Amino acid sequence: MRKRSLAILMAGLMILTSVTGCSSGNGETQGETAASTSETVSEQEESQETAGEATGEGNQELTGTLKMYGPGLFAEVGQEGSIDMITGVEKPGYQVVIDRWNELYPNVELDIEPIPWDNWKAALQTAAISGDVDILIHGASLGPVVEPLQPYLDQDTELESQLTMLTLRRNEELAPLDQVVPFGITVTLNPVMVVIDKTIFENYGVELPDYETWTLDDLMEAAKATTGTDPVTGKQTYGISPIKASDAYKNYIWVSRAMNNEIFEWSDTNAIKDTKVNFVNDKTAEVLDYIAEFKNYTSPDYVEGLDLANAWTEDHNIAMVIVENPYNVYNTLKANGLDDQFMLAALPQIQDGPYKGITSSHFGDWHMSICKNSQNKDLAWEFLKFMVTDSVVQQWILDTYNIPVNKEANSRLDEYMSADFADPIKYVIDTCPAGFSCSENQCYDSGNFGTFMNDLATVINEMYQGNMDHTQAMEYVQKNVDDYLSTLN
Amino acid sequence: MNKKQALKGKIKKQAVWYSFLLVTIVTLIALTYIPMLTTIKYSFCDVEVLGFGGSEFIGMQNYETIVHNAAFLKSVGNTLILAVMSLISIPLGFVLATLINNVYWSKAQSFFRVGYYFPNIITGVSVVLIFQVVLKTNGGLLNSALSFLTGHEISIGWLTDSHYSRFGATILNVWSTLGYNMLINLASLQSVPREIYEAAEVDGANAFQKWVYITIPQMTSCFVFLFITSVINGLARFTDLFIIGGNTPIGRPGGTLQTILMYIYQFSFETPRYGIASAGAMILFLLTFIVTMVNLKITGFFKNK
Repeated sequence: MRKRSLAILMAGLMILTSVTGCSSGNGETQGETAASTSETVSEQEESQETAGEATGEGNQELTGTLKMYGPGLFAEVGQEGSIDMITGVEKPGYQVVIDRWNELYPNVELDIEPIPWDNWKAALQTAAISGDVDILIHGASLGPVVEPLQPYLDQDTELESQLTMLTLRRNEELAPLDQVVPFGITVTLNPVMVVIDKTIFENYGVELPDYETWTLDDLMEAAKATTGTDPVTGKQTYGISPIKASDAYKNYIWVSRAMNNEIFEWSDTNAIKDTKVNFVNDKTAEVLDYIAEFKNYTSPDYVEGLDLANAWTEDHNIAMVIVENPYNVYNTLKANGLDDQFMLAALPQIQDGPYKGITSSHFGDWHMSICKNSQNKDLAWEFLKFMVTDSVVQQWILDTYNIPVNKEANSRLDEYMSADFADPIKYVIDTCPAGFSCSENQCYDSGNFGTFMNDLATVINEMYQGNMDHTQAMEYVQKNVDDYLSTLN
Repeated sequence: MNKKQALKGKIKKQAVWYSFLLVTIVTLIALTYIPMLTTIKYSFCDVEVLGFGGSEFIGMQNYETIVHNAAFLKSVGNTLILAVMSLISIPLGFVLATLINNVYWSKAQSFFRVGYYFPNIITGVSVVLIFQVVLKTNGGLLNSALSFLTGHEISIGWLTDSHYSRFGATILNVWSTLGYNMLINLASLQSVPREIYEAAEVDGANAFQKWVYITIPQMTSCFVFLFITSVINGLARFTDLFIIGGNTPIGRPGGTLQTILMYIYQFSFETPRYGIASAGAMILFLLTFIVTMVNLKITGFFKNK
């Protein structure tokens, strides 16, 4: 009897808990959320209507739904915008893009699904297989999955001249392997550059570099000269922080470019499998040794990715930081009131080969590609063009503190930042050849040679730890590339 | 007529029961068995990106490629080494369980039980983030403790130096699995009949002798269970090592932490060669199957009852 009563009591208690759990605060929140969502939707509808009424010139012919999926800027700012918790910098959400699109194409619905960068390649492939996506955001690296864009560019002959670069890849079926073909439309640019702490340079009595003429040796000398105990502040400073250790291959990209280490020997058959990759050579050894030498001038926390813990603050103690997102760094510095203490520089000039004399800086990018199995390819192309030509979108990109690929828009960078930052960025934009990307160029290729990219990161880190010399490193990479090429049919 | 009706009723009743299973069976077939069979098929085909391009039958070529591939063989070696190293968690869990079992104040025992099990419920990502600080080269908790104990400055890159990374990864793994091993050991310890201990006491056995001659032999089935499950978990290790490597499957540092699963991931998504990845998956399946068979053999599953 007692047990039965206890059981009934406990069951009653359980039901009560679950009922109250469902109906308390949560219910109100859900109600509020539902109300707020419907408000937002009606606000959006209202704003779209207003926009439509205002222009009255939207393209009524195109209809359908355009689905896109992928990482990058859309995910970073969200639909309604974001506020950086540290810097307080506000960025407008991609609702701006949707509104503008709806204004121009009222019968085409945009369905944007942003994802984080984690495992993005796997996520994009899964999305592509589903057959339910038209635009793969940042999808050009998945060669067989995306549509080559040359036929589209041939139809819109004006477009290419308006853009700083395109997303280019090698493709043995479409072009000779010493050339690259467009697989995506770049939307924003991320030049790889050096942020220099002018105060540290001044304290050590080191002259600030002329970024149009400085060399690899100048950079290493500066790193050496600014490592130690700051003669003015008495604090420990380090000369350089290269691109983070987990992406160490990116350091290989710019140093090998600066030394013009061309390693590919394309075959007459124009097949990747017949390509010779001559990684073991004196120049590669020189490139690897140069990168490994940074060890003497970096913080001991660099390999663990913790050396930038105090970066861009009053406690900043690194003379030169190689960055991939100079605009974001500028914003952080500005928010901390330190922008006058720093300057931006292009990476040292190329010492040899056809590009001798220009900067070894290259671009990362955020791009969009058309999925091969999309049923709306023409519509997708319209959207890609819209992203790089529409004035409202270009303004939105600038407002999110990104550098637009559109030449007219990126020429206005000096309205947004001081000359110490805007001029070097413009210099890189003006000098970097269109075919030189961080994915494929004459010295490097991340897409066609198996684990080449990852192997580079591995050996550079191993050399950094003193566990490999350049001979072992070159043999390791060469073996893996040769192994991979031998598996191709 | 009655028989026919009874049969109808029986079928109807059975149909109701089977209808409950239907969703599960369909889901299992669609999401597990069909992909599994497709993986077997792809392991014999030249497939680059799944769903795009051709899938030409090439026989055993993917298997030949993979068993001669140094990176794959290294990943098999890494997987086995890491799986074996992580077994240290079993004896440690046993010692811990023995200590907790000897805490007679039940509230204190519950406290330790929960306390030691707690790390087991923390997600792999958080564990790695915690241990990136604990195992930091300069000023990390472990290196600081070692420096204090030895009187020398110690700065070992537990997660960044390829000479030590397997130890670092094992420390991390042991910390997160110790609680589970302790709990299973404790449950097994508490099921050892008291009479055996009492009989030993009568024979004059001391505490250590009881532990060695009674407790440990009584725990054999528990140890076997933990051994087999730990090895199987070790063969499927991925998340923590993937994060340690900076969200890449390369097994950073120096490829020492690349397991078979990471190799498969690399050739599925990073450098898509799905045929090769499928062959890797089949080899992993084979390894796991062998371990499971050994498990069933040891635990007497095949014996006639």
